[in-house]
Amino acid sequence: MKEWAKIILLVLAFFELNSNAQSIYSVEVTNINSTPSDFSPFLWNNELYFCSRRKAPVKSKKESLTDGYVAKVDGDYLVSDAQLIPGLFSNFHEGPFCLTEDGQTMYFSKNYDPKIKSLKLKEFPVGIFIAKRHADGSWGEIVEFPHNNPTYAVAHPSINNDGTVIYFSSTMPGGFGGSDIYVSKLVNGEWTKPENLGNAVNSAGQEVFPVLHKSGRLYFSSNGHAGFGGLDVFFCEIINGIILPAKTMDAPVNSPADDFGFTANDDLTVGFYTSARNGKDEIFRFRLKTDMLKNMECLNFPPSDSCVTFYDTNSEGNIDNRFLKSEWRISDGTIIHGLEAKHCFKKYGTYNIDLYVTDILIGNLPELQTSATYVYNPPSAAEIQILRESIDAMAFGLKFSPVTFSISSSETYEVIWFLPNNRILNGSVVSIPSGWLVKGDTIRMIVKVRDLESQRESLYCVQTTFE
Amino acid sequence: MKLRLLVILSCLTNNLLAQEVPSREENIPFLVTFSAQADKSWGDDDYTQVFFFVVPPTHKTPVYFRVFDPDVGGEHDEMKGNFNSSTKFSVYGGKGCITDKDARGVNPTGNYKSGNLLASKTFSNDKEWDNQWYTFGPFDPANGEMQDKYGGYVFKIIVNGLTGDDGNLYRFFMSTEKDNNKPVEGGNAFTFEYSFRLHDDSKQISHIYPYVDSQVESIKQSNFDWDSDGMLRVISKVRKGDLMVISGDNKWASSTLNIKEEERNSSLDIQIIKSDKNILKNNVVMYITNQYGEYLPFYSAPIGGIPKYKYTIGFK
Repeated sequence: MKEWAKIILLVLAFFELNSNAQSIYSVEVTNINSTPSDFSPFLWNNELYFCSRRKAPVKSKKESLTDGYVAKVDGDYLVSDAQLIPGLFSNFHEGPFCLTEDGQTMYFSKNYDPKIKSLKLKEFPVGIFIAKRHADGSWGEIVEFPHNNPTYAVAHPSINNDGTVIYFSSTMPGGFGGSDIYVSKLVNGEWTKPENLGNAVNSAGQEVFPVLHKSGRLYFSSNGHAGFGGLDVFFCEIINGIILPAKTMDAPVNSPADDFGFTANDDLTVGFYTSARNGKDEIFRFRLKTDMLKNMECLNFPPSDSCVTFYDTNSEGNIDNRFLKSEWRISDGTIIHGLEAKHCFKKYGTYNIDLYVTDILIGNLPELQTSATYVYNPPSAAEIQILRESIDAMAFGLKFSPVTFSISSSETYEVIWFLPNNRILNGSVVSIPSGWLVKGDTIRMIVKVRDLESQRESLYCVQTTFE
Repeated sequence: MKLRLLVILSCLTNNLLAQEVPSREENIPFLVTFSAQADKSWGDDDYTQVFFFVVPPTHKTPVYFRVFDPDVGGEHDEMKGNFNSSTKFSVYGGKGCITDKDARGVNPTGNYKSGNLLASKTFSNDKEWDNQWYTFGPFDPANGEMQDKYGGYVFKIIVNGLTGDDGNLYRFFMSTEKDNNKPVEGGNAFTFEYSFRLHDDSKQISHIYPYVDSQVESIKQSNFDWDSDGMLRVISKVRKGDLMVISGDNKWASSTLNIKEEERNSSLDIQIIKSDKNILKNNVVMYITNQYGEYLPFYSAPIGGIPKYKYTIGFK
């Protein structure tokens, strides 16, 4: 076997081991994929828009072009009946696609003729275009995004709910290298000058396929940040206009192959994305294992140290203990002899500590001198902080705040939030739309710690009430 | 300060038979005074014992001072050759009884017989009083010397060994009744130099309780003729048990101890632990001075209660 093949097998085996190690996600290939390739899905209500290089059922359509398709999505997020997006097909590549929340406006990228004579077809630039939905469901009235530029790529649009903020990738000059992600805002009917999102998102590699999720989290793909290999799906939280450092999605969503083009339902429990792990671009579906997480035994945070040393506080400085023998009797059955008693507790609880002393000078039996109660409870190793800063006055943040919680270098952890209405988010800091929580709601945070050597996972829980 | 001391003295002696000397808490078998011709190596350095008794000012009825086995002879006393000795017991009260400086010393010198002599009697080999109680009194409490520092009216009993060389072993009791030992409520007794007999049984632990006032920063204990018979150990609420030097045969020995802040205004417990050498009829003398050379009183009922080292469990 060739060396490169062995390496791939080893990598895949490692990945397989990781994926078997109780990931919170399960993934599966959807049944709408075609032989050439399918990619960049976008979920809107019960429709899944995506790109495909399948042979289009239109005679005039040139083969090997990327076309836009829309499929039906049922209540279990199974997709079927993929059809060409009516009104958008052309002799150019089209896609990816995204819609505003009302579903009336579509933003998509496509190659276009810049009307430059010297430019050949294969050199036609890619730009962003905007279409309107007609009453019959077709799309038209296509206009060009004003920041397209024939000298560089402007692609992969992602629009916010009301169509006032757009994220996209571009190779425009002045970035960090390769393709970067930019943002532009619709102000007084005009799109503002694109702004690079900075190094929290962008790198010297390729940052592509941004997707702004309803939760305010920005998903994108990159091969410049540390990941699993190739393009990987990342996300970052935006709190009060500040973009927090990007985090990678957990395996098996990501793989050593290219993974990109992410979309999900409102509570991020189910979604779709593209992966080339099977040798070609295919649309996968991921599901968050909510039942597994809810039913998994959830521990309290382990204390940093369960060992304690008992001693006589008045003994310090008293040096003559020759004739006095101390015996510590702990209510878990432990008996320790000596001036001090070091004991490591195995279980949380309240313990009685009795100190008996034998005066060997007068030869008495051990006499009880004093008692104390020791409560071994898990300390508040971590807390939930509710950040009241708002994003566009519509949201606030939840933050995992470790107090004494810490992990070793051989461990990794992930923070998962369980919110009402089956909303599950992950990340140390998550932004929440204002409608997701009302006073009295329970916010549950689970920290999943994985030992990188044994792959064993443990869950630790904290919860609080939203005030 | 005086009032507080008065309250402390009165309320902390209620439950102890303070006027029994030696007290039950001390567990000392007998006081001892040898007559003047005795060899000091038998355990009495000056053939004299001085004890003070305190009657609280609230006590208005007469008090009696009773002596157990005042004679020199018979069942309990230490015969040297033949019983040929006499011992004089004298009761003092009135002004100067305690306040005279010589009265608070340990040597029968100067004006140690200060105050008013209220009663006295000399005993020899009197079978009538062997193993019996002799009663002095009644005495009007007001006949003592009123001293707030000591918590009431102070009486003094001086025991002098007169002729002969035998040892007189005896006990005291301050009573409200002539013929019975009925304690004076709130009363106490103390001495500045203790002459007493150790137990013969090595399993018995005796105690003496010096009182440490607020001015004491260090103490020096001195003991005589202990015959190296065991150990002396000091205990307080903050001291587990520091050993003190004990003397050999016919010798004095001393050692000092720094007093801790928590020990002031309370009593120490000096534990007397005998050896297993089977030394019988061991008589000893002890006194304690502070850093100024002033003598500390040994109370029969320890002021503040019997001190016990207080363990406190901490964890780290």
